This record gives sequence, C-alpha cells and structure tokens, in this order.
Amino acid sequence: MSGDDDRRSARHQRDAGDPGPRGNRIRPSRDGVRPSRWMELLLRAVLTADETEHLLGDLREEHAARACRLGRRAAEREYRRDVRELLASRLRARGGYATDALRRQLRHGFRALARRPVFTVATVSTLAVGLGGAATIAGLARSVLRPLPFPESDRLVAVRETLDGTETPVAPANYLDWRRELASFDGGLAAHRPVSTSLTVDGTAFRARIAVVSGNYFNVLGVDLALGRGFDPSLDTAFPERHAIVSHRTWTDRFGSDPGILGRTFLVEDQQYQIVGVAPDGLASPEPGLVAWLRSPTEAPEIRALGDRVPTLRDAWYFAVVGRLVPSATLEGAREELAGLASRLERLHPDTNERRGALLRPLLDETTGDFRPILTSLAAAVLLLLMASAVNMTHLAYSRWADTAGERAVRVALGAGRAAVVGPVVVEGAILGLAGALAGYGLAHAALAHGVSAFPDVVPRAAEVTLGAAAVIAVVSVGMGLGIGISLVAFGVAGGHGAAGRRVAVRGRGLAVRHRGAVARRLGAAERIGGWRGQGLIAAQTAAAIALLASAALLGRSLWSLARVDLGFDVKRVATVRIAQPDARLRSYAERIAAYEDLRARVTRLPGIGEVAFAARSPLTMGLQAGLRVEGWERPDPPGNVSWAPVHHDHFRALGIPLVAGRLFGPSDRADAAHVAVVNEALARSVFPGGDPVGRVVTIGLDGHDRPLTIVGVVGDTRTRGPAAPPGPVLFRPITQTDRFSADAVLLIARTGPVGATDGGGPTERAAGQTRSVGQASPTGWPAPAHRAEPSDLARIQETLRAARPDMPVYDAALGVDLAGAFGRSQASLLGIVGVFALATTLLGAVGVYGVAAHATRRRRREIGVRMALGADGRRVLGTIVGRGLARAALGIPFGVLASLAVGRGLRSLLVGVRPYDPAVLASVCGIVLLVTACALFVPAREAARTDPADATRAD
Amino acid sequence: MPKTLGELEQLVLLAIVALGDDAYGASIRREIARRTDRDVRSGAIYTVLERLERNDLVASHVGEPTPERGGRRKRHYRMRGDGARALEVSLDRMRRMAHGLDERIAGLAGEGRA
Repeated sequence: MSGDDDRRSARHQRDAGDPGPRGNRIRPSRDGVRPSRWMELLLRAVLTADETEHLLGDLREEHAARACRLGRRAAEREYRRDVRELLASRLRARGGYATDALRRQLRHGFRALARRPVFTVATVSTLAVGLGGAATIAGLARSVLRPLPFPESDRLVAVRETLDGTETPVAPANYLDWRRELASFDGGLAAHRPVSTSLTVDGTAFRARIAVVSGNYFNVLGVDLALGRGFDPSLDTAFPERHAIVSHRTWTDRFGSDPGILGRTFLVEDQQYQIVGVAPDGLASPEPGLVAWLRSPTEAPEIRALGDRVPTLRDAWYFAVVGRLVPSATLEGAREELAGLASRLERLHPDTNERRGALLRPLLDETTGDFRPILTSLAAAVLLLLMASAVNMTHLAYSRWADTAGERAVRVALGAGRAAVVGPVVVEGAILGLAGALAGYGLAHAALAHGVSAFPDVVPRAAEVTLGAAAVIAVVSVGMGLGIGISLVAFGVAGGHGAAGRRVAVRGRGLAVRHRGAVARRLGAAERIGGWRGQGLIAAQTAAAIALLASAALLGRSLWSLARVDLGFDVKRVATVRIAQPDARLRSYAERIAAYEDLRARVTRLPGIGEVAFAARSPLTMGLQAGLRVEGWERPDPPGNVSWAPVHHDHFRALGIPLVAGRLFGPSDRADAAHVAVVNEALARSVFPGGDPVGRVVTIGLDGHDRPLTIVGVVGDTRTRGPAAPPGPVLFRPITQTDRFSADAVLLIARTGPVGATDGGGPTERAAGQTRSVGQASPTGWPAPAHRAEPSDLARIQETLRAARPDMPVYDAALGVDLAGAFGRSQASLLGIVGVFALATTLLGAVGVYGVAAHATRRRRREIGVRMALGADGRRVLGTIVGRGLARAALGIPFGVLASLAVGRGLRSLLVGVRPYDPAVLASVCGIVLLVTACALFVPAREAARTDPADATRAD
Repeated sequence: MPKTLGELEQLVLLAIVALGDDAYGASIRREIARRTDRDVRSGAIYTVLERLERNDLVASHVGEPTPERGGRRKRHYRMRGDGARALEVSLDRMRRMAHGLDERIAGLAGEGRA
C-alpha cells in the first residue's frame, strides 16, 4: 500500500458524491469518533489482550484524525483497510513462526525416517494393508447396506410364499387375495416379474429384458415418472388395452427423446402396447437394464399362454411381491396379519395351499440377501488384520524408540525440554500415519474399482460401490491417529523422555534411568514389557494370518470342487444359442415349433455336429414352477411343486443326460399323440420313493390340471439349483405338446461330434442309461475329450441360423463350459479379495515375527556371546531361538482356529464340497503359517548363531 | 557490527528520533507520512516495531490511558543505544555511498524522463 492508493481512494470518494469533510458534522466527543465495533471485536478475537490495547488505541486515534480530514465514510473505509492489513500481517508473522517450526520438525522427521528405510517401509505398508482392508470392507458395507433409492425406503418390504419354510415365488390368486385383504400396506401390494422377450419398435425387432408388473408397482415404490401419468393403480379395473412404461434410456435411444411419445405403440412379441409413461433416468427396479414395464391385463403379472386363468392360479408360482407399510404398521404387525391370512387361505384351498405360508422382510434385506453374513465375516477378518497391523506397528515403533533411548537421555540430561523430545515422536507418527493412510486408501480404491465391481453377482448393488469423501477423511484420521498414538505409546514404553522426577545418569556408554525412590529401574524393564508385547504380537498375527488364509483356502477349495462338480450333462461337448420369434406372423403354436424344428434340422446337417435339440430353458436353471398332482395319490401331504420344462425329443441325447428308466421322448410324441412326461431322478426320489414312476399319471398347475400326463421315463439330474445345492425335481414334456408355453424363444442345444458318439471311457463319459453319483469327476485335469465344443462351432451354428432366418434373432451364444463357468464366479471374485488380504496378513505376520526376533536377539547378543564362549554351538543357539519363536506363534493357533471357524460360518453360502471346519484345511493353514514364521525366525537366529563371542562380550 | 537496517526500519527509527517522547504506533506512522509523503500501512509499522524491539534496537513501555483514544493506553517506543548505532551506521553508509553523486543521479533521472 502506498500513499498513492490512499489519495486515490480519497479522491474516488469525493468523485462518488461523498459530501466531504464539511458535509459530515464531526463533533469530536470525549472519546472521539467511534469506528465500527465489528472490526474491534475481530481484532480482539485474533490478537492477545496486551497487544490489542495499544493497537486499538492507535487505530482509533487515526480514525478520528481521518474522519476530520477525509470524512466519516472514507475514514471508516481506511480504518477497515488498516484492520485487515494489520490482521494479515499479524497472522503472517505468527503463522510464520509456527510454519518455520513445523517445517523444521517435518524436515527432521523425514530425515529420521529416511535413515531407517526398513522401519519406514515396514510401518507404512503395515498400516496401508490394515487400513486398506478396513476401508474396502467399510466401502462395501456402506454401499451395499445403504438405503434403496426410493422415498421412505425403510417402509418397503418384500413378500414371498413359503412351502414348508422354503421360499418360493408367489402364485397369482394368492397375491390377489393378499392385495385385497391386507390392511398393513399403503396402496396395496405390487407384483413384478422380469422376463426376456422380443420387442418391435418402428419395425425393428430386438430382444430385451422387461418386467411385467401390477398397475400399482410405481406407486408402491414411490417412483415419479419422467413423463406421463403411468398405469392406473387401482385393482379390478376391466381394461382390455395393454399399457407400457418405457425406460428413460429406451425413450432417448429408441424413440429419439420424442416429447410426444405418450400414446405411441410398440410390439411385445405379437401384441401391441400403448406407452403411458417414461420411467425416470436410472431406475433399476426390479433389476437394472430393463427396457420397459408392462401392465399385465390380468392384474397379476401374466404368463401369456395362461390367459384368463391367471387370476385363479394358486399353484403356479412365478413372481415377486413388494409392498409399502402404512406409517402405523410395524414389521411384526404386518407379519402377523400376513400369517393369519396365509393360514386362512391354507384352510380355504387345501389342494394348493397346504403347508404354504408367507414371509415378509425389508426390501433392502431381500436385495442384499446372502451377502450380509459374508460381509460380517469379512469385516471380522479385516478387523483382525487391522489389529495385527496396529500391534505390528507398535512393535516397530517400540524398537525404533528403544534404539535411540540412550541418545535421548543424553539430550534430556543436557537440558532438552519435553517438547523438544516428544515433538519428533508426534511428527514421525503423523508422517507415517498419513503415508500409510494414503497408501491404504489407494489399495481400497483399487480393490473396489477393479475387484468388486467386476463381479456383480457376488456383491449385490456392486455397480454402486464407491468410497466417498467421508471415507478419505475417516481413513486419514484413523491412520494419523494410529500413527501418532502408537508412536507415543511405543515411545512411552521405550523409556519416554526421561524427564520429571527421574534422574538420568550417563555412565560411559551404559545408561540407567532411576526413579526418585532410588529403586533402580533399568531400561531392561521396559524391554521386558516390549518382549511381552512381542509375544502377544506373534500370537495375534499368527491368529490373523490363520483366519484369513483359512478363508482363502476354503474359497479356493470350493472353486476346485465347483470345477469338479458333475453338472449332470456333457458340459464340454455342448454349444448353445437362444433363438427368438419376435413377429406375430406365425400365429399358431405348431407353426412356431415348426420354425424351430426347421432350424434344428439345418444345424444337425452341419459337419461335426451330432444331436441337436431345443428347450424352453437351460439345464442349469429352475424355470417356471408348478404344483404337481398324482393320480392315485394316497399320502396325506401333497406331492409339492416341480420345475416345468418343455423340450425337444432329442434334448436328453444332445445334452448327454442319461436315461435311468423307461424311455426318452421320440418323434412319435406329437401334439396329437397321448400326452407324456419324463421326470428327473430328483422328482422320482421325492415323489415316488421306493416306487416306479414310469406309468404313473400326473397333472401340473401350469397346465391347469386338466391334462393327464403319463410318465414314460426317468432321466439323470442336472444342477438346476446351482452346483452346491441338490438338484430340484423337474418334469419334462415334449415341446410339441405344450401349447400353453408361449415358445417365443427357445434354447438351441447342439452336441459336437458324431451322432451317438462317446469319448471312450474318459471321465466325461455319458453313455445313455448309465447312472452316476453326484459329485463324480469332471473334465478338469483330464485329457481333452475328442469332440470338444469350440467357439468356432458356436460361430458356425449362429451363421447357419442367421442365414436361414434373418428375421429371427440369435443371441446369448454360450458353450456348455460357459454356462458352467458362471457358477464359480462368486467364489472366484471373493477369493481374489480375501486372498490378497490373506497373503498380506501372512507377510505382515512374517515381518512382525522377524522384527520381534531380530530385536530380541540383538538384546541378548551378549548373553549369546557368553554362552558361545562357554562352548554352546551355533546350531543349538539357532534351534533355541527358532523354537522359542515358534512356541510363541503356536499360542496364536487356538485363536486363529476359532476365528477361522467364525469366518468360515459366514462364508458358508459360498462353500462347495468343503465344510467351514474342514480339519485338513485348518491343519494345512496352521502348518503354512508356522512354516512362514520359522522362515522369518531363521534369519535373525542364524545371525545370532554366527555371533563372535569376543565381539559380543566387548559390546555394550 | 550491527545488523544492516532495511529502509522501513530506518524510517521508523528516524521517526522515533524525531518524535522523542511521543513515539507510538500512530504518531510514528503520521510522522513518516508527514515527512516523506508516504503512507505506510499500520500493519507494516507494527511488524517493524516488533522486530526492532526483538533485536534490542528500541524499547517500549505502556503509558497511561488517554481519553482521546477511547481510554486506551499507548505503547511508547524509545531508541536504545544499539538502535542509535545501527541507524548511525546505516545512514553513514548511505551518505558516503551517495556522496558527490547527486548531480549525476539527477542528470540520469532527467535523461530517463526525456
């Protein structure tokens, strides 16, 4: 600032119309003209009391003088400028001293750490792994368990039916009764069923996922549409017209964001739907990526072929139900009401509803499902890891401060103050903490970005997993807190600053710290504490390493088992694609089937392709479920429900599913022939235990129980409920006879290799008629079978299909191994995450063990030297050190085993072919950890064993 | 050998000399402004005063409360021996350096203006 400024502003003031000195009637009072009180308050707040007094006096004096000279307003402005400038220069000066001191401390800190690279790297990486693990799991938990993106989402619940306590989807008639009768729900219950179907927009046909929903679906969730009024939410509306709400994405991509989209139409298969709304951007309910939501004309999500019978069906279970509790209702109250209604329905409809109940839980629980126990066990494992990190750091820090205790004592003796001695401890701790925190955050970020999001099927809502700004703050503050805290604790244990009440005596190079009470307390006492801690450290780290390695081993073992599970069909020789018929030109069911049959025949003629078939669903999925009734049924309990699978007659041969009894379907099982069925072994076992199902007559709910079917054969099971669960009961029907199946799309299954060929005795052998036990060997590890399906086979098949019928979409091409491969993905991705932590913990454990042993050995150097001078040989010294260390590590084994059992229980839903308490796994994990510990002990032990007795005894 | 003084330090010390018993923050500032037509901001004055005091070049004491200043005390500054010597050395150095150069400086400055 210069005088120029001053004058300029004064002039400016006059130009701006200030009346100037004469305009202000300054009446100098006893205390002059008062400047603004605020500025004085500000000054008082920033400056110390004895500074303030004369400064405020000076300022007021100047203000009064300026008020006379320049006018009151200009004076006020000048006054403010003065205050601002004064504050700035004061703060600069004060900050300057503080910054200088801080900078000096930081420089010292960095130098001290740079002089100890091993200590620094070990500490930072220890902390980084611990914090990284914790942040990863916390990020996962936060993302997965946070509220659903709907208003008052805590009031949203999911309702399921149960059969003997096992969850099933909901049947239409039961849903409609619930919706009419239950009072706990706001706007009634809403039903939904996502399906794949063919859509035609402006003449372009494509395959897409849609959801068939009840009219009140959007109202129940509380979703506001981007456009349009949506469905009529009332129940029992007679409405023949078909309404649809399209997704925001579909609106922009397929309809060019047409503002006049409402009222436009598109085709779903062969039926026309009118658009009554556009969903808000990003709506991912009931699943992400849906193209449209259709209102079902039957009020319950329909299966079209079932037509008007849908509202009366009580034994076809195929959709999910959500509801919004009224504010006065509690979860318990709603459960009671639901249970009461379910038991009333059970009495009213014993045929279909016997042993059927209903289950209600928060929608968030439904969405996060099985992941909660996994999350809990991961959190426990990571907590263990963080604890191990902290213990490890404590030890590292202890050894760092114990090493320099002598130097510190000298400084204290020479008059260094408390602050000068403790300052570096805090600063070093802070530097280490910050570095560890940043590295840990990086690890967590990488783990979440690359590890978790890549596997949406293990982590529900995985796409939404992120670390927020709060996580950065949390990680950094925990890291710095740990860094400083541990540094101080270790410093205290290592002798502290040796001031206040202690007399520090420096005798030559020896050192003694005496308490005032004259009871000598050598630093050794502190070292004994350190030693004790060291023991605890080794045990704790052993425990953490065992727990994490055990989880990794269990997951690894499960993956291995999964690869060897017999899925029940010839995985290696199968190629599959889906084909759809989007158009309405082929009206009749027979014509649709004929179109598929034509394509099937074309594929069969390809060289290198054996049997080809088509079916409603893949051999690894459950498909629709329906109630089964058996003629001449005498047992009191109903036969239960079964999966229903329309298949081509060559289906079993194409998949290599063996015939167990009776016959397979043949070309003679035409639409006009007697209706027949083939059942799988699981159905035969559960419905006809000890009896022969062949020849029995049954009906199923989806067919309305009006068509008797004669069971003609029994085939082997495929893993319809996943690789780990026992196969469910399946009833197959010739696809020619199932005209109530919409047949809008089928799975084409081709078997590579010549017709009827087998691989000649390999483990993949599937000779028809041969029965196998579950869990029998799989392809892995065996010589590749002869006619293995290759991606090129898939390409040829797709090409043939497209050339023959360009109007029929071909999609979802997959080899049998791809279908099977999806099974291990959850385990594989979790193994990736847990495996990294397990490895890190084991390494950290090894570093910690090494540190403790090295430190202890160094302390006992003289003792070892004396022993060796007295004739102990090196090998014996080595053995003692390793043995003692191992004994300490062994202390951690019981804790580790207990922790592994807990973690294993949490992972149970992912374990296949191995129990959480598998003794072989636990034993080998303990063995590995002890082996690593022994290796870590070996290094310092060997050094000790090479001690030169003369050197050691001369040393201090 | 006393520390070399900066320009503002010299100005402040000279003002203290000129003001005698009446040297305090506001009067020092006014004095500098009056003599040199240069308005130094108070923050800078106080920073300099503090530094001079820390280096034992000036001493200060708090005076009696004065009614004109809202009853607030002044902090009076007076020169110390070291301060006077340092000022003497600085000024002497400047004078000797500038000796006989006035005309040439004026000539050069005139040239610059032309």
